[in-house]
Amino acid sequence: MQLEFSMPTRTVHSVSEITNSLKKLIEQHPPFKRVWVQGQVSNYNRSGAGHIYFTLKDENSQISCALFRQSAERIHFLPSDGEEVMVQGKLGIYTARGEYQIVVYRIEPVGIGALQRAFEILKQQLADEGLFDNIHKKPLPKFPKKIGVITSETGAAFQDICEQLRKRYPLVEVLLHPSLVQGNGAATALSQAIQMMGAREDIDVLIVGRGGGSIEDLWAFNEEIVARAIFAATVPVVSAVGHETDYTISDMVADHRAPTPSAAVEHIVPDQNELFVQLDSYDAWLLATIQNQLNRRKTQIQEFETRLAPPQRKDAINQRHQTVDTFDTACRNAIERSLTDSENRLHTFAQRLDALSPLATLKRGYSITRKTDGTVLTAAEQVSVGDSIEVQLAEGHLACRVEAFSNTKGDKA
Amino acid sequence: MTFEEKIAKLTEIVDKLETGSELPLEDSLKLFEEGVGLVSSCREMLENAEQRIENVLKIDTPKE
Repeated sequence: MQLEFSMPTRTVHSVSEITNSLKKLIEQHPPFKRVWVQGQVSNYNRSGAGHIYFTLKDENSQISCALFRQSAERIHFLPSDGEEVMVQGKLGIYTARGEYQIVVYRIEPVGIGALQRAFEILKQQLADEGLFDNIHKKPLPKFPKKIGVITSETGAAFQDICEQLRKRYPLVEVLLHPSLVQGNGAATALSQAIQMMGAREDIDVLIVGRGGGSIEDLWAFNEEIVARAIFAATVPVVSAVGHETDYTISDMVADHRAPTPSAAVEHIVPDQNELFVQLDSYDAWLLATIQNQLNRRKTQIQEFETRLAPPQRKDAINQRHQTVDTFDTACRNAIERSLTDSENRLHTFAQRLDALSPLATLKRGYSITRKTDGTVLTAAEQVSVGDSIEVQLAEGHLACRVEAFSNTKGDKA
Repeated sequence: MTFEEKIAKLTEIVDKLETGSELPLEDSLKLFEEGVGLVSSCREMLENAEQRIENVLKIDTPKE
């Protein structure tokens, strides 16, 4: 008994016991259930059953990773050896080999090579699904009342957008939804903001963007969840990421792509300077049109006036006036002429009268003999003996009595 | 009326005046007056506009 007592107690575990208790310890440790690990991929291989195994390593250490078929089928971007990636998964122990490992259910590219390949893969995938097709592009409103903006509250992009809006079209209201735009969680934050803002009915158009940066900085805009949120938005989305040359998946799936946040504003709102010019031309047009109409009415009235007093009648009257005038003149002329004529004729008559006047004959010694009743005697037989007769001389009269007469012509009385 | 509605109305008036040359003068004058009024109220809207910025996470607190 003493011997037994003195013997040291030892608890011997089987290999499996140790492994299993470590497994329990690790797998039930909450932080290890969803862990993100970043490293370089090596020993990438796919088993016949479709499971994928690889190793993540850094300068000093390495971890085995297992990506089982069910998870692998949901992941578009599968890494290649040498690529820098970030995996999310749960830490566990592969009991058969006593190795700890990460059971991966998410992989994100980190290094430029991985990012570029992931970009191409997602682009192809979404293109195949038709997410970039023009048929899905929603038109932008002409005069938006309210613009939603999803970007960093403190970033230059938001300042640029507000400044441009103030200059171009200050009538518009801005509703900002601040969001992370780079780094861990940016894609999730962006996609949630887009889901929320993209469904609002009071927003006419939504700008999603940020200023320029490296491919890593802009990476959130190349993430699938962001692309799908943009696609699902009922509000038209304008993607404005980075500089002129940066092209993201968001740009492709958005309804409109603007090279910069300021350019997005130019896309979305009219320029008030142009509007002022347009309003001026409306003003001028309205005035010209109404003047035109008034002038046309005036012309119409003049036409009526003319029709009521037709020119031919006026003419006729004028002609008659003229005729009267002509007659008048003719009459006056005629009267004057005839007066003159008369005068002349009178003169001639007077001369002729004078020439014919018996007075002149009487002066030459002839006389006129009349009966007492005034009858001029030209034949002796007009009187009887004893009749009283009167003899007119050039100067004075003689009262005479017939004593005898003869009928011989040419005889002197 | 919003700016957009005013511009739409203005366009409508211009169209009416343009095509309806046989409109009674009274109607034309009425449209003309309305149009000129809309033009000046659009101008005023733009001239007096003050930018309004809101943050969705701080609802109903308009920023200056």
